[in-house]
Amino acid sequence: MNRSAMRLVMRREFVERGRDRGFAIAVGISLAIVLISVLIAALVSSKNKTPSFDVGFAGGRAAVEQQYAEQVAPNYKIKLSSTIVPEDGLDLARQQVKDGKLDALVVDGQVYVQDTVDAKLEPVLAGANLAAQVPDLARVQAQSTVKLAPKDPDAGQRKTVALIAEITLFSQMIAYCMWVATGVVEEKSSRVIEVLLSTVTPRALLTGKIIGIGGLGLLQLGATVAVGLGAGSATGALHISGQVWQTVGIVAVWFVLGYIFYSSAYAAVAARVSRQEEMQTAVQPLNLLLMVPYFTAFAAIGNPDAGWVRTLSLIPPFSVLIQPVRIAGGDASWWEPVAAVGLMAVATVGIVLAGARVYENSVLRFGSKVSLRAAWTAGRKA
Amino acid sequence: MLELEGLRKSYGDRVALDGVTFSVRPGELYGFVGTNGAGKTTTMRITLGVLEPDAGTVRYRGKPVDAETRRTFGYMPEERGLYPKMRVGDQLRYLAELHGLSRAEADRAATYWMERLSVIERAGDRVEALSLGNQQRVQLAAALVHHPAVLVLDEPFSGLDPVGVDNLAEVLRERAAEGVPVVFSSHQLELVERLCDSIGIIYRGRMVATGTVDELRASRSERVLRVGTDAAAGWADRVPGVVSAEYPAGAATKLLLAPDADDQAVLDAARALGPVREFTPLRASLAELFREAVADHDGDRADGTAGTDGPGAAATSGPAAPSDTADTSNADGPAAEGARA
Repeated sequence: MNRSAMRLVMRREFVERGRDRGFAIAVGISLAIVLISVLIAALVSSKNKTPSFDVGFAGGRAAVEQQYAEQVAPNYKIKLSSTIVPEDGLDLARQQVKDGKLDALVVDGQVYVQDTVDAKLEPVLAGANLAAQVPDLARVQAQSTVKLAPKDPDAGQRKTVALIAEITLFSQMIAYCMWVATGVVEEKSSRVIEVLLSTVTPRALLTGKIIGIGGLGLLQLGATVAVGLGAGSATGALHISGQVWQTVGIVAVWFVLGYIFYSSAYAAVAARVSRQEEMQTAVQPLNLLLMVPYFTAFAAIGNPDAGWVRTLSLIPPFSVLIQPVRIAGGDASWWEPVAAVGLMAVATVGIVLAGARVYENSVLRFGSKVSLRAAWTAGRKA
Repeated sequence: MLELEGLRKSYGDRVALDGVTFSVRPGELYGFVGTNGAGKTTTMRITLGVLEPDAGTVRYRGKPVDAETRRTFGYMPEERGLYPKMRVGDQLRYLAELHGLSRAEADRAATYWMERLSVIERAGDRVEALSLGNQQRVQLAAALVHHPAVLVLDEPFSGLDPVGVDNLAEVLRERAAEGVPVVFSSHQLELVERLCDSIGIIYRGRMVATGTVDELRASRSERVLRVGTDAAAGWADRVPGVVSAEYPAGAATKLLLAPDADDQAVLDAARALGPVREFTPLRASLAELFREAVADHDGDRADGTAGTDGPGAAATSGPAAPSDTADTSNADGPAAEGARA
């Protein structure tokens, strides 16, 4: 019976908060932020795109030159589309070079360009020129590279993803925890709590509230991820890999854990006061407890594999915001996230029990702020 | 039948309830009166399970009340409580469902009560947009929306206009006629007297009188007579059984009789002095009965630890009798305190 009451509370929180203009605004802002950051990323990455060139080959060596150039172009990180220009097409091709429709026209050792040969194209054409003069192309040995300290090609993306994950986690957690706190005080200051508690237990009320509002949080998170990934892959700013999905999973898990942890604490603190203005002051220490790990995370993102980051990423509640930073690092052991989640889960159970106790003891005490001692010891019997 | 037995409750050192016992029969309208801070709200909160008593039990139909039974109770708290930003209809449906009604039933009941209490056209408005009077109606609908088996209303009449009072009285009578025990508290004693089948007077956490108004009158030790006569002032001073007499100029004499006095002897004495135009035994009003009951028990707790309605109400303890029979054991309790009662 209590569970159905809890479900009703949950539904009310979900529906009423969802209808609230504040929710629409919050979702709108977060989606706008994601879209803007994806667009910026798309612009930045389009600058670094592999350049492509249209080249025409003509004359007796055209076939060999084309073959060679096509072959080595990827090594020089360029895209090459080439054509063999027949004898009677030369004038037209020259005109095309003039107009900029062709980047270069190669005719028997002569390279026709508008003004200069692009620095990236030049070695390819030079190589082709040499290769065409070698009697047996098959005997030309290609050069190959041996990587001694390879860089992760996704390192940049990883850092960006970790950063976005951090910002999303933090802003969502603080927003939804504040909603829980506001909701608790709203019930207290409007005294509707008395009517509610005549039919629902405080625990069912608190649980329903936290889950209902958290559900909205997950909804917003889902919308953010969908829009972010959709826009990211559409603009080519993001290449969707297993690592991206892994990140989404990590953020979801840490949001759920962190939200339950912090919202219980926020609810307990809010239950001790009777007015919204008092609540703002009362939750300051908790805001700080969220902000310190957040700023630490920014410091950690530059050096995600440092020892102190590894240590903090295991300690609740730091782990909520520090563990996702490790996404940016490449070499987390499998046990690290598992241990971090395990420790955080234990801490969360503890804080939920303590928070529920304080909530239960304080929520019917109106007037001045309930002392921590009374909130901890008194019980509804007082 | 709703039975409260031996309810005790302390807030720290302050004793709020000191053994409250009374019962409300099915179909009975029970008026719960008392001074501010006497323990009415605490008693009601305990009845609804919002608070837990230190001792004592609440029984309904002979069984101790559990959470499941309490869901069938209807409660209107003293400090009105609704979600300010929730729409009226949604709010009533929600509360009905919380009390165990199905969605369809909740919808039907919410509509019925909004119609009945004339707030149906505001169903889609947020509660905070309503006038206070309409908010009060919604509050009442919230207490009634789940067809409660027991109704407990804390000060339901306060703030209502005369039409609203009549409406509410009608609704309460109707509920009672359906066999629902109805308890409500009020400071409007004439209203309580007019409406209630039974009355309980609480003072400093104790029930100092319970019963019908007539029973309370009968238990009264003194009787008052009004005698219209032309006899000179002082005529009744020596009549046997007269405790005291007032002789207002140009008006009827008011006599206070001893419990065993023979009123016929008084009549004879008056007639012997001339024509008697009026001879009326005065029925004590509930207000008078209340003052007496409170005055009788004023010395009960000379330690001055009067009960309060809640931890926030600490300052209201002290002498609160609505008369000039101030508590002499607590000299710093000014009359202004009493005036709030």
